[in-house]
Formats: sequence, structure tokens, C-alpha cells
Amino acid sequence: MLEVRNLVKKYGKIVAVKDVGFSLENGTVGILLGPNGAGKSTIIKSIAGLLRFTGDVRIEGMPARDVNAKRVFAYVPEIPAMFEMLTVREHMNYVKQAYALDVTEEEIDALLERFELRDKQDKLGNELSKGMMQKVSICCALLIKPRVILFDEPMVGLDPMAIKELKNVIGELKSDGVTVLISTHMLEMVEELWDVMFVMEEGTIIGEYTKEDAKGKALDELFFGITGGEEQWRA
Amino acid sequence: MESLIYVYRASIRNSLKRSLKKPVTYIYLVLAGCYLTGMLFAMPEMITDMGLDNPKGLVVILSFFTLMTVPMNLLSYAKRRGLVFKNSDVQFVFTSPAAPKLVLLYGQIRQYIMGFVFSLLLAFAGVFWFHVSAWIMVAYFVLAFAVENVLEASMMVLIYGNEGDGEKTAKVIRWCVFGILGILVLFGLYLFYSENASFNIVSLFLNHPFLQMVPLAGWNIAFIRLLLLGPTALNVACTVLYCITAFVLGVLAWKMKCTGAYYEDAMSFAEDYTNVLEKSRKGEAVFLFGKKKKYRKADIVYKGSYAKAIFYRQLLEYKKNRFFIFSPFSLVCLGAGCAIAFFASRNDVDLYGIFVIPGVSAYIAVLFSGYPTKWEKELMNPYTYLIPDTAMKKLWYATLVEHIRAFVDGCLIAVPAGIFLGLNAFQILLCILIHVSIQANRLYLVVFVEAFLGKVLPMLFKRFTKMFLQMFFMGISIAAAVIGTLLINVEAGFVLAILMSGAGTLIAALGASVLFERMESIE
Repeated sequence: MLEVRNLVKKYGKIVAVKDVGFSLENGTVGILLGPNGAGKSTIIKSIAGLLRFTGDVRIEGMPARDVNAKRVFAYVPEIPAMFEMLTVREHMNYVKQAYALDVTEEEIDALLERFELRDKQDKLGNELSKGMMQKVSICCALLIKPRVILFDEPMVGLDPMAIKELKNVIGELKSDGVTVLISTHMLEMVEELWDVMFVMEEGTIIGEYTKEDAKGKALDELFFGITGGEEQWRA
Repeated sequence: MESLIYVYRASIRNSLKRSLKKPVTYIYLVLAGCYLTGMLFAMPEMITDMGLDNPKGLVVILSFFTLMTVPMNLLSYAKRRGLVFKNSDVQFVFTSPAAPKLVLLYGQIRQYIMGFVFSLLLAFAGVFWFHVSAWIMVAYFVLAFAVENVLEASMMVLIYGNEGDGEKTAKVIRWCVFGILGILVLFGLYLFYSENASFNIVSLFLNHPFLQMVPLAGWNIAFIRLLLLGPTALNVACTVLYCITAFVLGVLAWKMKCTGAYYEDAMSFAEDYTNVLEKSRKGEAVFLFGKKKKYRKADIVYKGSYAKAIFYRQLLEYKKNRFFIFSPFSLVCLGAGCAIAFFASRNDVDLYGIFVIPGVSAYIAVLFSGYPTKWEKELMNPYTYLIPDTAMKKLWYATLVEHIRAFVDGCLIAVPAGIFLGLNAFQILLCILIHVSIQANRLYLVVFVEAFLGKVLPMLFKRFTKMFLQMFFMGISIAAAVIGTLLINVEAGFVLAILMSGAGTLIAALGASVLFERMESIE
């Protein structure tokens, strides 16, 4: 479960996120939507413990910065960054050790196979393309077997096969009771995945819909309905 | 911590494996071996010549390094920019369940290893070069390494990891360090004016009892003196203060709560570091510290199309710069011009004083051959290749601003220097044109080498090749100047030099223009 209460993030005098609050139950997929600069990534980075903020963020009831909370939490950033001199396999080994995971080599193989990285496992971090880095990033996050996972624009740079696989993975995470929060612009990519959608504008959540509220409406229809239509976006 | 050590160990192992596959590594190893062997034989003689081949000499050298490093380290920690984390650390380490204090120590691991190696080498040097008894050097190696690192790591954790009024504490520390530096400067000035100005002042300064009373850096020096020279009331008292400080700060750091609020600063620094790394890989001279550049608002009227647009866009970028087309290099040129003028006003300059200006121009061109210009960046920009114009026109308009800058910088050297050297207007103009041609030569050679040897040679060899070619063309120009001067007169010699340098520039420019044909050539 993920709970965010009264989250405020300031950069000097600029308020990037204004008193944001929401919660996601176990087995729920939440989508953060909004234009560039709306504060989506700031929220994601705050939850991941990378930014200072005021307010309260809890993962499975524990403060997000608590070491125990971090043990059950995974984060896939928008721009993946690899250890330059570690191979793909060594990235997985590092994660295994850093989270004291009880993961077998076969499980690592299976994960690499699933994202077509098996033949790239001996490549160094600085030899990978952006798409491959994104795949490694996703594999490392999944290896943790998290209870809460954050994806920041996860589809960017992925090939169609990997996008399809990622969608399947998110579906499986959901069935396993994992809380998933995805920040994205690509509405059509998350159409069949979402349970709750949060629409952001200028650092605040201006609308919240559940799948039940949507009554079969498409995501973009709901999104533009809240934000004032495509004309306002173009303006 | 085990996982963090795993990252470090695996990175070093892979890095070594990769290096050993490259033939250039063996060339570097041979060069480094020759250099170290040379140093090994030359150093003892140098130390003896300077009269430092005794424990007191070692104390002077160590005191100097302590004064250089301790305040600088404290300042960088206080600015929360002393630790180098990379974007990969942000993604994989900051979000992991590793204790944030351990992550701080991981950030310092490279410095600890370097410090260990340095202390070990120092222990041997102490025994063999400075004639300190072996057991004292062993004691120094163990104690100094331990206490210094405990103190520094504690300071780092307390400054970085402080989540209370961390910013206020950091500010207080910054001012304290500035205060200490101020006291040291004032003390140095006092010695400079009270004693005879000579090299001995440095030794007097570093051995002065007052220095040992300066908190941290001075106490560290007292600790070194106690270990290497034996006890005095002062060094014992200051060493006690030093060790108590290390112990108290160590306990405070151990007990302090740290949840990782510093990750935000470290993340922003990691981004800056990545940019700097990227630029330095491309051979640009960049600085990690300092404030981010601020740009002014500016506009420009494009008086031309196609390749000319590159020139106007560059001009717009320069107009947004705080100092327009002027750079630190302009200051160097002005400084050089004023220095020549000062020299000329104090000395009798004969006819050949005119050669001083081109000589200085050539010297600073070689010295600053690494400074970046906008035109090299044009080649990284895909839009440059899409502009529907000829490669030669693109080359010309991409470099035009740099020629104007070179002309202005040339004026900054040649005008003040020329006036005091008693040159006439035509001679000053020739000196400026020589400066422009030398700079143009450098401008095109840098990218010429990058284009034709970029993929083949490593960075160091590329730098040597650029420098060699630059000096080669300069040599031809100098020969032309000498011949022209001997056969006709100085002006003719200068014109010949400009023509020869221009011919070299043209060859390099024609070669470099190939780069504007397709982006593939520089990738």
C-alpha cells in the first residue's frame, strides 16, 4: 500500500508540488497524468526518497525513508543510469545483494530471458542502448519482488515486444497484490492497466477517477474532460 | 556495505579486464614506468638539493599538503559538493535499503583507497628519502591514516547527513573555514613584511608554532610534528585537541540520525558531474565547481539565410553571455599585453622587441589549446548537417565568430604591448593578424585531428598530435618570418609568416570542412 499525505515540494521559492495527497491499495495500478512540468516526476522522486519534502509518504504503513520500507519498494526512473563498468548480470547480482534477496540464478535467467537480455548479460552498462538500459532497469526492479513499485515513463525507449511484456508484468504484479504507480504521457499504453487515475496540473491533483467512475470511457476522454479539452491544451 | 563494495570491486575488475585488452594500456604502462623510475632516481637528489632530506623536511612537505587539503575538503563538504556520486548511484544505491551514512562512506571509498596508497608510499619515502626511523614511519602510517580518516569521515557525515538545520551548520562551517583561511593569509602577509622576502618565508610559515594552533588543519600539523619530530608542549597540547575532536566528532556522527535527505543535493551534483564527464571525454576543459552559468535575454536580426544563420545564432548565444564574446582567455590576453607593456616600460627594447608579441601569442595558443569554442559544438548538432548549403560555407560561418574573437583578443595583447614597445600602427596590425592566424590554425587543427584520428587515438595522444601539428605550422611561420626579416625587413617577415600560417590554416580548414558533409565522420 502507498500513502501520500500533504506532500509539498519547494525549489527555493517555487512550489513544484502543492499539498498533494492520495493513496493506493494493494493490487491497485495508479496512473499519474499531466502535462510537462505538472509535478509528476517530482512526486515520484519524493516517494522514492530522492528529494526533500514536507508531508508524509508511507510504503506498507512505514515511512518511505525507513530501511524496511525500502526493502519492499522498487523504482524505475524515466532516464535509466547504469553502473558503467558492471555487466547486465552484475547489476542483477548487485540488486540481489543490496536487498538481501533469496533469488536463484534460474530466476535471474528467466527475468533476463523475458526481456530479451539473456544474450546481453555480459555487456557492460556503458555499452547498452537506452532501450536496453530501460529493460535492465525494469529487470532489477522486478528482481526485488516489491510490494510497491513506481514507474516513471516506463515505456519510453522500449521496443514493441518489451512494451507488451511490461504490460503483462504490470498485470501480474497487480494480481500478486503489488501496488503500482505509473507516471506517463502515453495514455494509450496504460489504457487497459489502470485502476485509479490522478490528473495533475501545476503541482496539484485536479482530478481523480477510478475505473468504476469512468464507466467505460477512454482515458484520453476522461483526461481531456478534466483538463478542459484538447483545445485548451493546444492553447 | 557488502553490496556497495561488490559494485566497486566488480567495476575495478571489469575496468582492468577491458584496459588489458587495449594495446594503448601497455604504452601508458611503459610511459608511467619510465616516469616513475625517473622520479625514483631524481627525487632523492632533488630533496637533498633543497635541504629537505631529513624529518624536518618531511614535516614541511606534509604541513604544506595539510594546509592545502584540509580547508578545501571542509569547504567542499560544507557546500555539499565534495562527494562524487553518479546517476547510477542515484538509481541503484540511493533507493536501496543501504544506510545513508554508509552510502556517504561508499562515496568516499576511492579517496580512502588513494589515501591508503599515498600513506604507504609516504612511509617508504619517509624511511629512505627523509631518513626517519622505520618504527616512527610505521606509527605515522597507522595513526595518521586512522585519525585523519576518522576525523574527515565524521565531518563529512555530520555536514552532509545533518537533517536538522544542516544548511545553517554548513554555513557556519563555511564561514569558519573562510575565517581560518583569512587568519592564515594575514599571518603569511605579516611574515612577508616582517621578514626578508625570500623562499625561507615558506619554511618559516610552515614551521611557525602559531600555525599549530589553527583548529583542525593546524592541529593536524601538530599531530604530524609530534609523530615525526618528537614532543613539545605545544604539539602535545594541539595533538590532544586534534584526537579529542576526532573522537567527539566520530561519536556525534555515529549517533546522528540520517535518513538520506542529502540525496537531493547528491542527485543534482551527480547530474552536473555526468555533464562534466561527458564534456571532458570530448576533450573540453571543464570545471566541476562553481555556479551554474546564467544567461541574459538577447535578440538578433538574422541578416542572411542558410549557412549564415549559424553565424547569427552563435552571435545570439554570445549576446546572452554575461561577458559577450569575452572569456577568461581574453583576460589572459589582456594580462599578457599589460605584462609586455610593463616589461617594455622598464627595459630598453631593441628592434627585435617586435617579436615578443607573436612569441607570446604562440605561447598562450599552445598553453590554452584545450579551451572550448562554439564551432566544435556545431559538429555535434544534427541541424548543422541539414542546412541546405555547401560544407565550405558552413565551415566559414561556423568559425567566423571565433575569428572575430581572436581579432579582439589579439588587440588586447598587441595594442598595449605595441604602444610600449614603440611599434607603429601597421606593425601593431600585423601582430594582431598573426594572433588571428595562430588562433585560426589552432581552431581548425583541433577538429581536423578529431576527424581523422579521433577513432584511432586515445585522448592523450590526440592532444599531443594537436600540439605537435600546431607547433609544426608555427615553426614554418617562424622560419618564414626570420627569412623575410633578414632578406627584406620586419614587416615583410611578418607578412610572410601570416601567409605561411594562413596556408596551413587553409589546409586544416579544407580537411575539417569534410566534417560538415556528414555527421557519421565524428561519431
